[in-house]
Amino acid sequence: MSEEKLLKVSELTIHYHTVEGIIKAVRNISLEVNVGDSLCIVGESGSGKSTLGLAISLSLPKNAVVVSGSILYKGRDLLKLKTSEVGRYRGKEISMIFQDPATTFNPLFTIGEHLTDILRHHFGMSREEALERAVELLKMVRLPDQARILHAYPHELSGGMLQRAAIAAALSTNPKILIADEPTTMLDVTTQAQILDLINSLKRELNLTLILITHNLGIAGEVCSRTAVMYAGTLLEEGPTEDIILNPLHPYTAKLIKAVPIITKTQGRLSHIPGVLPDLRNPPKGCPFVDRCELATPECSASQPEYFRVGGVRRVACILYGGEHE
Amino acid sequence: MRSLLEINELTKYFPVKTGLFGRVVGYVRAVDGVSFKISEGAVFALVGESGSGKTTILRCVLRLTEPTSGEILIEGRNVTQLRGKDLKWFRRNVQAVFQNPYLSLNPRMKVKDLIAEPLKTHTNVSKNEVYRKVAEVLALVGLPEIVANQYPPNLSGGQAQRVAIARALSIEPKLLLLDEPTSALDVSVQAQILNLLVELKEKLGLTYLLVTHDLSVVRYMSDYIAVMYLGKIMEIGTAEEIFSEPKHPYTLALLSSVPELNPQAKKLKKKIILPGEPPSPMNPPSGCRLSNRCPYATKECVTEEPKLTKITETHYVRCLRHEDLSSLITREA
Repeated sequence: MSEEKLLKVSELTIHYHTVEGIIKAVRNISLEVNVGDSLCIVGESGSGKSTLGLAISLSLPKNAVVVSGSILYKGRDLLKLKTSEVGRYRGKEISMIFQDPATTFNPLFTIGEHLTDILRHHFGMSREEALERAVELLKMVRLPDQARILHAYPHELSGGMLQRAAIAAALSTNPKILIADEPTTMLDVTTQAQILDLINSLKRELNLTLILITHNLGIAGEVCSRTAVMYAGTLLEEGPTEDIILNPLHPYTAKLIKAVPIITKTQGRLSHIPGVLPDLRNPPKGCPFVDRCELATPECSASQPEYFRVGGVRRVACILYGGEHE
Repeated sequence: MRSLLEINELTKYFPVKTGLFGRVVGYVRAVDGVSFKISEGAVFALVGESGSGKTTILRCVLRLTEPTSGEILIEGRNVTQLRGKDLKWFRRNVQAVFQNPYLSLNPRMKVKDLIAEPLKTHTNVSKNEVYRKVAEVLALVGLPEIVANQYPPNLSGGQAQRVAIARALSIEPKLLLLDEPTSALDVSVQAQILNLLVELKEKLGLTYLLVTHDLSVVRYMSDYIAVMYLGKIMEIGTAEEIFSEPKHPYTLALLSSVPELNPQAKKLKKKIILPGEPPSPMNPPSGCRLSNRCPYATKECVTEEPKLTKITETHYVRCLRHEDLSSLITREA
């Protein structure tokens, strides 16, 4: 693997300062993404998956503190950018779309105004050029009747149409990386299928590098070739999506998959994960899953497990796979 | 088995008003002639996307909205006409659990008082007895006793939903209405709540009316399923019939739009992606309501409104082409 990585996150740790104390949202995460990759970050609420996405897209809220680590984009550390340089990356090289398309847009401006603003700001286009390009963008995300949509205010469009418009806005700057944070969670299932289909084909057409953040393993399987599983701020395992779903390594992943009701067959009882997420103000010293894991040993709570390589393309943070170090 | 809940030709139109004087310019036909029966001990699921009218039906059954026309019978008594004592009997026997427990539980009441409230209203247990009963119900839903003195905002989502279930079950109702009971929860917690609901149903002999958009939840829990689209039932049948032999293109589209976990099963699956989005229920398309999005629609579908057609004793479908459909689908696959 000598080719240059597009994105390399190393030992990233992020804390939130809140009135209730310091929340250790992301702890010691390392990830690599190649050009054209599609990586899915799967986790439940509180896993830190959205914080990781926000950090990569340079959109962390003000109360977030990057304690340590680096995010190298084409070899450049995004966390060490000068304020004047941030605009060259955020929304330009790395774009993001969010869960609720209704809050993505300012309700006081039309879709056309949003799109042309971005285009004029980033490319210095004239109003006419920008409008022309905006129509192309809306066509690209398969929105019909572009002229009407350009003049529509966000509340006049349905959720699915708005999410398409949000994708158009995110891709208007020709970004290299698109981060999609739960892009279909607010949508109906048939609309969700349409949006996933759209993301899949745009990925191919534009050779996009995609980072998809979701709680739904099924979506990971539909869209992404690789998957990383997060829990309580740490990355538990990573590998090809199909392998992770068919043969999960980490006990947490295995339990998570068994907890999903399957549509193709009738089942007896679902297996669930007993216990609750650890308190992120004071996370356990060892493996974060130790309190809920049936296979836990005293060693598990002593120190955070290292990553072990499995089958060359997979890694897992669980001492069960000890032996071959990364 | 006799039916516990029977709904006949239920309609609910919401007037659309405009201007200063609230002139009525049209009606949103949220529910348009829906009939079904739920026999005692069954789990009946209403499935559909937003705007299909599933929640409106549930609200009508709960008497949170007054239906425009139609009958809702519980043990043969028309719910819409109950008053006074009879209404109290109805409330005691029909309880509900909603999507978001943080919204359905009063944040200023302790858990024990939340659960005690229906007991105090509907039963004549003494003061000392009430809290003993609360402890019993908490144990029933698998919550530790210390939760009794906490306030809902301090509970996790799964715990709070258990409290909502405990409150609904404290007075031993016959029918429990579940409105998207796990949509606000994480997957691992969802599994806990679904297991609990199935367990409680068996233990207490409950009947469920489940409203959800999540087909995997439906598959896990339900005996009978009605698939709704724009206020009408498009297909109704046993869970086995709906999942193994869907006859309506909309059912098929719904089934195929669920992201498939198993990559091997995915390769076998035939996908139908419906174009566009559901039209406004204010002016639904003429003929079949799916006609403007259905890949198999013909001219007839636009002009003629299909009726629910019997396939088996339990399986009905509202599609003009349901007989040709199975061959159409296999040919394309």
